[in-house]
Formats: sequence, structure tokens, C-alpha cells
Amino acid sequence: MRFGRSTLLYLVFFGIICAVPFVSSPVVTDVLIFCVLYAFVSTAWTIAVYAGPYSIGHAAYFGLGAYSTALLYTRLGVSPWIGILVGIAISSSFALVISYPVFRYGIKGYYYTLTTLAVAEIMRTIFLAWDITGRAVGVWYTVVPDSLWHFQFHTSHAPYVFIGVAFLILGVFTSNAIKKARLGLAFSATRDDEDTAQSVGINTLRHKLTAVAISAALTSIGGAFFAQYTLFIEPDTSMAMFVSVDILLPAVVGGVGTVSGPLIGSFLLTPLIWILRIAFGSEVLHLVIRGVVIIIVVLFAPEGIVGTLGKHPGAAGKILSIIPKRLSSRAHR
Amino acid sequence: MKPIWTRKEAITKIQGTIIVAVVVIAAVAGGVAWTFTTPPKPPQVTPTTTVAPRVDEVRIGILAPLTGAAAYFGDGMKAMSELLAKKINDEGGIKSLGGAKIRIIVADTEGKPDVGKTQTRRLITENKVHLIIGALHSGVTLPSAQESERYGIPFICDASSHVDLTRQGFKWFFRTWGSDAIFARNYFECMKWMQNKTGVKIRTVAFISEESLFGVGVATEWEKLNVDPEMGGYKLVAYIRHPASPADVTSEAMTLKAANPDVVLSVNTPMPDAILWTKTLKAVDFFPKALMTTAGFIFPEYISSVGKDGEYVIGREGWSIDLTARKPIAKEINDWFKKEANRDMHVYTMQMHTTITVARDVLERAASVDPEKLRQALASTDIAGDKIIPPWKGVKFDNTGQNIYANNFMVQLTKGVYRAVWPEEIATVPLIFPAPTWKDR
Amino acid sequence: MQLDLPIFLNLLLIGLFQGAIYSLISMGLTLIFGTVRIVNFAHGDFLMLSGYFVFWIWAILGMDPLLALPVVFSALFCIGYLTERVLIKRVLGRPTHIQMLMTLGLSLIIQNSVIVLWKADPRYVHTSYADLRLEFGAVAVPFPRLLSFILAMVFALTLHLFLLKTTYGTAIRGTGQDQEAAHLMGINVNKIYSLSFGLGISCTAVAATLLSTYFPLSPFLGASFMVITFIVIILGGLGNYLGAFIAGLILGTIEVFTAYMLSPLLRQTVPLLIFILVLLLKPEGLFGRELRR
Repeated sequence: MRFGRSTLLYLVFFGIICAVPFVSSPVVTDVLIFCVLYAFVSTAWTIAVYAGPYSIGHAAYFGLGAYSTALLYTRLGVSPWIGILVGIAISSSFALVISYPVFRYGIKGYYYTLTTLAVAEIMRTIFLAWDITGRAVGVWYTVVPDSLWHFQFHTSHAPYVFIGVAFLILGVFTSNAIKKARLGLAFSATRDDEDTAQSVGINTLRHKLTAVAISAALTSIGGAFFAQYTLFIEPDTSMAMFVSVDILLPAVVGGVGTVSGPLIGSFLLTPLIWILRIAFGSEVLHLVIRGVVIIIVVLFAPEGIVGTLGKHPGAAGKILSIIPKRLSSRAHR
Repeated sequence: MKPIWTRKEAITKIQGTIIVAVVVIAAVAGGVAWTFTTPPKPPQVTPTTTVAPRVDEVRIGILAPLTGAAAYFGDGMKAMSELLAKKINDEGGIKSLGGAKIRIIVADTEGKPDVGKTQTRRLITENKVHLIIGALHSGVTLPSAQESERYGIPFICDASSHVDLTRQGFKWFFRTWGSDAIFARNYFECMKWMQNKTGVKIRTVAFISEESLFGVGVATEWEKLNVDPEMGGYKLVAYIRHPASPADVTSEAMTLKAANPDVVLSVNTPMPDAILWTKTLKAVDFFPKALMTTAGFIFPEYISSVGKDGEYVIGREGWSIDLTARKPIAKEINDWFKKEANRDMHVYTMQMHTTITVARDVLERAASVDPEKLRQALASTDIAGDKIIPPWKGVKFDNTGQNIYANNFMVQLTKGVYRAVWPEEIATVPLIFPAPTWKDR
Repeated sequence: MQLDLPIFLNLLLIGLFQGAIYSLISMGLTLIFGTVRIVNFAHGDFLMLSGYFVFWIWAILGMDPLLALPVVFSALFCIGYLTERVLIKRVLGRPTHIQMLMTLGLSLIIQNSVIVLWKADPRYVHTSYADLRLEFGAVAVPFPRLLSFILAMVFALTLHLFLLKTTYGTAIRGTGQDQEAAHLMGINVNKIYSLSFGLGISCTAVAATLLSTYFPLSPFLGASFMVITFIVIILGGLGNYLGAFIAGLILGTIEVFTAYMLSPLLRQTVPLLIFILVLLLKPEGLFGRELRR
């Protein structure tokens, strides 16, 4: 692994994010927290995408992480940090258990995507009906004074930003590592042309499973983070389909398969969504606008911002070209 | 473009790992240091001074769902809040504050807890509201109230009924509306009264509950009360729990029919669900001696959709057009709202009026927008019943912030209008029990 | 739960009636997939849009939904056709996630535009025959549902004949099986795409019309039906409209029995589990063609 100007850029970026809460208003800090959170889970989603088809069921892992942490904390008094570790174990095991047969039987494309949707929906309906998870009431936290061990901060939400950035760094690091290493090449090859990859001896199954497990683990951390912020978890807002869409949207807008794409996507989309919410407070218009934005991106910048800029070297392109891009062996599908 | 890994200034792997580790540790350490060494910023937005600063406007934040399935209710809340503020301002504003005008800022919660929480924060820190009213969904009210509790800004809950909201130990949270425990009592008290009045005994009951925070909260209270032999003690022959917005309820209706309960208590929030249930009960030809409902059943669009099929449905209500006959304030506000907003009132617009009336009273008595003074004024609220629309003795909060006079009454749909039938003091027509079967109509 | 013969028959009938609606919606969706090769995540919203068409025609012109059916059918066909030509066409052949997002974006726009235009209030169409019940001994059947079932069968048959016998129908099926060959045979593949999409959407128009005789309408109508629809099209084999037809009936029946015998909460869970099972054991669906990816 080599590091260069891109690392510096990231460090500067994260440094700025961490500095902002010191000077900004609390609302900006809150929006920043969501930017960081969605950048993180979107990065996690991208890791799964490195080696496989597109999932619209990541809400399952998000919710599993949220619930593991929330339940262990509220019912057993276990620190959320330990809860996060438990959540990682649960969701990556879950991902492996689900994905092994799916990959083994060679389910691909739309079939795979619909499967991920079905899995997330099953989780949601089960959690909705299960007494242990609180059914529709969900899990309610008691508010405790600011505490790192209890992972709750109220005087200022700034610590959430710092912790979120730490997670994000972890996510970016992992995403980058997977991409750059030999593993990454194998992943891309697996995704682009599985038969050839297999004929060359790459164990595609193992790679896909690794990617999905890592992706699930990271997403569940994001879910736990969300639980510790909202202090209230219910199935319909942590495991519903719109959560899965919110997770993948930044990656698509920023550039699927890239390391920086999810970050750029999240830091553009999240503030936009909040500005729309506040400006159009009383109109459902902001949801219509979100739909329009999605379609515009899909039509005119399907490679995402990073991808599109990378393909058109101009002055901006050259400057931004130091940002890691897709390592695809073929330029187009 | 040369691939990155051939660039000359590449740092070695170990150095890179160290840098990353340092950054991560620094970030977390920074967070810890921040938490424990920075003196807590004063959450209060207005400092207390001995001389009351001139107050030009009082800002009230309203949390309501303006998008999503509950938008119908949120729209009404918004309309009432804005129109009422204007009315108060036209009448001279808050007199004890020198005629300060009320300004309403509405924030859409989308029915989501995280959005509600952040909107609350925004209302407090950006819009600098002095009071918050909201948020309909109990699941949204909780995180939002946690925020305002932290900042020390009074939060007046107008419409969320979950019992746990007043069990969090909040100091700044007040609820003008009732809790599910209070409302559950209304059902069972009415059932006892029905039996006494008509001599028809109730032996078996069934619950229908949608799997939502509201549904589960309400049904849990029913369960608790039914176990109490004093209040309930009926045999529970069916307990139907289904997800909200189903595509069909025929199986559920058939289960109900097979169990043949005397009384059915139902909680369905979306109006389409209420409509679907009514129509399906007709399709399987079953109607209990009494169908006691709430939420989705009691709104005007339900009536227009089911027409005659909704006859005899009993609803737990907070608002009824009958109130206009009994309470002058109800008639006055109803006529005014109908004229100004060009729509009918419903229970949540009524509650917005109640709550803003309380807020106005609080502001007048506090003669200040200082949060602590507002809180004390709230805690000592004792408004007479004739100032508010609901048929309550008034508004007075206990030490958990719950309005002790909050109650609901029962209405029954007869000849296309919901009329008050219980308690007797406010009933305008007799309660028809048992309801005729479909064939006998 | 007790299950004597009359109850069993009642449940079976309702299951089939419910399933018929699922079949219609799913046939449309799978038809679209068969030719255009995308899963239309906005399908439920087109269903809802059709419902609003039906409602407004009834509210303003007083026309019974079943009489208005041809109008609604044509209107939604045109809307579907145009949607494909203007929007969907641009994402054909692109990666799955792009197509998925296109239809998801569409879904957001359609659903929320309806809310902006007509608020979130529910609507209900009142027909003269809404309350009719036919009774055969202990088994009672609501007339609107029976009628919907019959009409759904008629439509399915018509669709089947159309696809089998007519030129356009054959062209659609041919394009679905092998684009290259179809193109070489002189078929205007682009036009077929638009036609298929339009046809798929108009299937939802029929379903919505039938639904409107007994089901309340709201902007969230689509959400209630879409999860089951996805399961049906997988069960029936993506692209196989006959498979979707049968799978819809099967799943509708399973759903109704599950709700009665187990719990209404498992209404969706059991079909979802079946979905996963089928996917693992026989991914091309119960009746699907061989998976060629």
C-alpha cells in the first residue's frame, strides 16, 4: 500500500470536518453528523459492491447493528461499544449465512437485488412482530449525562462528529485497502467477469463472501451509531426500504466503486436534503425534488461525480484525478 | 495519468499505518477531551436579567408530520397554529409582554424520530423558539422532547398519547393531551356504563391492533385494564395484530367472526385501513354488538368513504361537532376555523387550539420569555374548562407534566354524523347498543 | 384455528380473488422485465396513479369504474409508452443499479406529486353493486370481488391470446427471447420496448380498476402490493407472464391461509421465506426459463 497526495487530501478533509463543530451552530453540527454517517454506511455498501451485485437490503445490517447495541444497552446495561462489537459479529455472521447459499447457487443480477430486498423485509417484519425487540414500540433509551462509555452526548453533539469521523476513516481505509490490494483486482475481476476469473483460479466465492461480511460489519456500526444518536429505534425507521436507498444513494451520486465517491455523494446530498426540508418545510415538494435529482444523476452522471469527472480530464479533472478511481479493467460495461 | 503507486513521494506502509492510527486515536481522544474538559455551554438561549428585556415577538416551534402518511393530520395542525397565532396577534398579542406578537415556525418531522430530533435542535438553536409544541407521533415526540429537555426549553405535547412519555423524568415536558392509560379507561368505563344502561351483558371482547407504536401502546393498555376484574375482566376471544396498510383483511375478519366477540376494540391509524376493515366486516357479514374504535375511523374522509356502512361505529374522540352545541368556545372556534381555513376541524386541530391557548395563558402569566419562568408558569397552569374546546374541567399538570383533566369521550356514527354518546353529561343522542347486525339494517 | 369446510372454501375463494389481483400486477411487471429487462420499482406507483384516474373519472363523470376501464387502460398505456420513450430508454443496457435508481426516482416523483396535487386523503369509489353478496350455503362471496376475479381472468386470457396470436404479441415475445434475432427479423426493437412497457403499465391499470370497486385509494396504495408482487414475479420466473399468473394465485391463497391459521403478522413473512427458498432451490422460478446471465 502506498500513500501519496490523496492521503493528504483525506487527512485535510477529515481535519476540516473535525474543526467545524467548534465554530458552527448546533444545527450544522447535526447535519454534519448525518453527512458523516451516510458517508460511512455508503462506503460500507460500496465494499459489498466491489465484488458483487447491488444490494438494496443493507437496511438489514443497519438495523441489526442498531438493535444489538440498543437492546444490550437498555436491557442489560452493556456499554454500546461492546454492543457495537456484538453487532459486528451478528451482522457479519448473518451476512455470511444468507450470502453463502445465494452465491453458491449463482444468483445474480436482479435476482440478487430482489433477494437482498426480501431479506431486509423479512428482518423488518420479524422485528416488528417479536416481543424481544419491542415489536412496533422499538427500543427507547434513557437519557444519561454525557458519557463516552455510554456513548451519549448532549451538551454538544460534537463528539458524535469525532467518533463518526473515526468510523469514516476506518471505512475509507478498509475500502481503499480492499480496492488497492491484490484482493481488489480479484474483486473487480470477479464482478466484471466471474467465469474468466474463476478459470484463472481466483476463488470468487471467498472474495464475495469476504466483501459482503465486511460490508455488513461496517454498516452495522453505522446502525449502532444511529441508535446512539437518535436514542430511539423502531423497525420502520431503521430497517425499511428507504433506509437501504438512503445508504446507497450517496455512493451512486458520488460514484459507485470508488473510495471517495460515497463521501462526495453524502456531503453533497445530505445538506441538500436538509436544506430542502427546512426551506420547503411544509411541502412534500422536497421529496419530488429528491426524485428529480436522482433521475438527473442517473441520466447525466451515471458514473457518479467522481466517475464522470475522471472520464473527462480537464483542469478540474486533472486535479481531481489524484483521487482514487475505479480500477476497472474495462472502461464501460 | 500515472497510477498513484508509482509516484515518488509515496510514504512507506508502516509510516502510513502510523499516521492513520494517530489520526484515529487523536479523533477519539479529542472527543473524550472535549466531553470532559469543556465546560458545558449554557443551554439557555435567553439570559435572565433583572430588567425584563423588551420582547417583540414570541416564537413558538411546531413539530408536525407534513409529509408521509400522517400528512393529513399535520396539515391541520399547521393551519390551526398559524391561523390562531394571527388571531391572537390581531387581538393584541401577548399583553403582559407589551403586545408581543406570536410567530409560528413549523418544522416537518416526516414522522421520523431522527428528523424530529434534529428539527427540534434547529428550532431551538437557529430559530430561537421559546416554546415547542408537537409532534403527533409518540416515537418522534420522545427524541424531540429529549432535545428540548437538554436545552431547557418547554415542550408542550399536544397529541402524543404514549404512556412512557411522562415517565422519563422530564422537567420541561408537559402534555395537554391524555395518555393511552387514560383513554383505555374511557373505553372500559363506557363498556360498564353501556351494560348498566341497556341491561345487555358483555362477556367477550376482541382487540384489533395495528403493529405500530401507537397501536401497540393503545392495545397494551387495553390488555392491562382487561386483566383488572374491577374495570374489565372480560374474556379475550381474539387478539388480532396486523401490519399497517394491509392489502386485505378478510382472513382477519373471518377470525373475528369465528370468535364472535360481543365487543371489539380496534385501533387503526390510516384511514384506508379503517375503511378496509369496515367494508370487509360487511363482506364477511359480521358486526359485533359494539365496535369501539379510534384514529382512522373518526375522520371525515372515513365517513364519506364508507357511507352507511359506518353506522353504529363507536369512536373514542376528543372532538365532535356536538361540542359546538354545548360549549360556546367550541362553536366560536369551529365557525372561525371553517371560515378561515376552509376545512372542518378534527381532533388534532382542536388540540392545537387547546395547546396554544395554554401557551398563551402561560406567556401572559409569566410575563417573560425566560425559559425557567415559562416552565414555572406551565407547572402552575390551571385553566378553566370554558376556555378550551374539549369537555374537560380544564388544564392542570401533575408533577409528571400530565394534564390531569384530559379525557376522551365516545361518539357514535349515526345518520352520517359522529355524535357524542358518552359520558351522559355531554351526550346528545343515546348510545345504540347492541348495534344491529348487517342483515337487520 | 378451526378449519371446517365452509371456512376453508371461503378462504380459498378469497385467496384466489386476492391472488388474481396480484397476478395482474405481476404479469405487467414481468412483461416489462421480459422485454425491457428492468425491474420497474415504480410499478406500484403506476398502480396508484391508475387508481386516481379511475377515481377522478368516477367522481367527475360519475362513470362506474368497470365502464371506464377502456379509458383508464388506454390512458395508462400511453403514459407507460411515453415513460419508456423519454426516460427508461436512456438507461437500457446500463448497470442494474442505474436502472433501479431510475425507477426508484420515478416512484418518489409519482407518489409525492400525487400527494402535492390531491393531498394524502383516502378516496373511495362507491358502486351500486358494492354490497352485493352471493351466498352458496355457508359460503358467502362478496360480489365485487367475484366480479374482479372473473374480469381478471378474462383479461389474463386476452393478454395471453394477444401475446400468442397477434403480430405485436409475437414480436414482444420474440424480442424478449432474443433481441438480436428479433432485430434481424426486422422488428423495430425500440418500439417493442415502448409497447411492452406501456402494456405492462396498463396491466396495473386493470388491476387498479378492479381494486377500486372494493379497496380504498390513497397515495400509499402501491406500497401495500409491491412486496408481494416482487415475490410473485420471482416465483413465476422473471419474464414468464404465465408463471406470474399462476404464482400470483398461489401466493394470494398462501397469504390468506397464513393470516387465518398462523397470524396476520406473518402475512408477508411466509411468502418472503418462500421467495428465498425458491431462489435458492430453483432460481429460475417454479416455471421459469433457464437462467442465462
